[in-house]
Amino acid sequence: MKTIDCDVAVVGAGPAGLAAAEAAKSTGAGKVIIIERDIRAGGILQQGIHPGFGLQIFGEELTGPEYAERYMKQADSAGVELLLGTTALELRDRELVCAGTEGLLHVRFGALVLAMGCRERTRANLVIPGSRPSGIYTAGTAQKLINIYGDKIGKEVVILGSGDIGMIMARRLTLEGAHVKAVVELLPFLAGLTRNKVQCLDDFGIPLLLSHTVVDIEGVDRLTSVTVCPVDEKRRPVLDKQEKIPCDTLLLSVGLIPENELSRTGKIELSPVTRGAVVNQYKQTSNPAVFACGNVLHVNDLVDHVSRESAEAGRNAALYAAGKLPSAAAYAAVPGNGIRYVCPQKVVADGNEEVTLYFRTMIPGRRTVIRCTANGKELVSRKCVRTSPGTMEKLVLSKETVASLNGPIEVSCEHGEVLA
Amino acid sequence: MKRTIICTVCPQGCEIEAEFTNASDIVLKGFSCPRGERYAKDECLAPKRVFTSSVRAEAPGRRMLPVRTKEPIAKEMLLPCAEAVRQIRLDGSVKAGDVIRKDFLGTGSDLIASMTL
Repeated sequence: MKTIDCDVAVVGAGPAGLAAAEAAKSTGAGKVIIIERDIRAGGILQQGIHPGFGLQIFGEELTGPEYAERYMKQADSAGVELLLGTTALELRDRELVCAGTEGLLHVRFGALVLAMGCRERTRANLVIPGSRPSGIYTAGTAQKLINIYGDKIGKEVVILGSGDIGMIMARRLTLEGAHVKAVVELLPFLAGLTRNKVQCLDDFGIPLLLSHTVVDIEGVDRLTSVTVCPVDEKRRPVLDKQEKIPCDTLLLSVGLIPENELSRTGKIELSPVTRGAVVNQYKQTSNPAVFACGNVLHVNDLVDHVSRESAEAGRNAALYAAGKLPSAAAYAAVPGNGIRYVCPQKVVADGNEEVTLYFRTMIPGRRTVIRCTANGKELVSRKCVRTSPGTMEKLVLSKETVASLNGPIEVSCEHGEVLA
Repeated sequence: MKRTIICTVCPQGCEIEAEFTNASDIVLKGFSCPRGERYAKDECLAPKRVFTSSVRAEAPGRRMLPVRTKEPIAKEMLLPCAEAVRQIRLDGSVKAGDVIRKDFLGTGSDLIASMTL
């Protein structure tokens, strides 16, 4: 059995892991290792061949693989070591147990960054009734089959869920010669980004059925049809209005689940709402040597945010490994009126740096005022033209504000006009 | 003509009101950056999109190489480009940014590799 010692270990070589490792190295960590189960770095970006990545960080429209290559180069020239084909199985105290191409491997670390990303929710998570034919895919699996393996997955397609990957696959399948009959969304509003509705659905005349769901799946060997049905305001299907749509393929784009099995082996405290670790602004978890970032922390809509947040996690992990990460009293950052969650869930009142709070609203609205308060007193607020649960929002607390905290803070919102 | 354009340049999604009769008198309201203004103007006159797809190419663990047009192309050329890209087969190594086809289908933009294989 082999043992490796390092200052900072990172699990996952997707956008989060690459940015975290590069930042850890630039902050002065001696040996930084990324453990990646795939045979290539890049994570999900490898199959996201569409444009739209990097508008915030690079100021240009890159595809996923291009964005990944920029970070791979940066990590490589910083001197980050990459262990490919290696799966992290168990998190112990200051040690990871991994399985690699040469057998069992123990990685001992000064600090660890969790950057495993997430996986898709499946038909089993939704419990859709019906038979069990072939032709049912999660949107991301379909994306991998088409973009990486060049497979044909079907001709007549219905997509359940208006998540970003689902809409992007609606366009991709249309360009590949398939007929996308409808995108069906349970909620009365879009789950993904507006830009994806415009460029992926509207551009090709693909209908979006809001407040609808799939109530039956038919077919013996191969899918032959799905039954689509409107839902009432309590999201219950109105069965007498159901309609059968003949199709051979059903794509599910119904949400992502942070992949935290490894975190659980290390008894890291997880949030029931984000399903990611509970962290402070350093992205430090309930185990002070363990940090978390990217989609394993909370599901992001933009990779640019992931890279930024993960660089902070990597830098702080390096500081912790060197015994230089400050600590002070921590206060809860909780979601108030109209807000689903706030990440980080805790703010350490050290006042060394400003703190960015990321959060999502519950429903879409126009002229929305988002604000952060402590004891009913406003700390910071901002007015947004539009907000939607599909778009992550943020508020920045100044150094002075952070230093003056002496109790929990709350993020809330007020819509000028509700759009649901 | 009057129409509402949802800007897709960034995730903010500004709603831009456009009123125009011809190319020289477009009146735009609601954009919040110069890129948004340019996008809305293009949407009124000649909508453009970056075309992305993948072409056959053998490499460890994959059979496809992602490709894109270097520049945005006319929207109505997306489907013809998708058709044409299926005929391309590549062998040998490729670097991100390498030109696969010059002036692809007369769109004025090169088709380039978006990954190093």
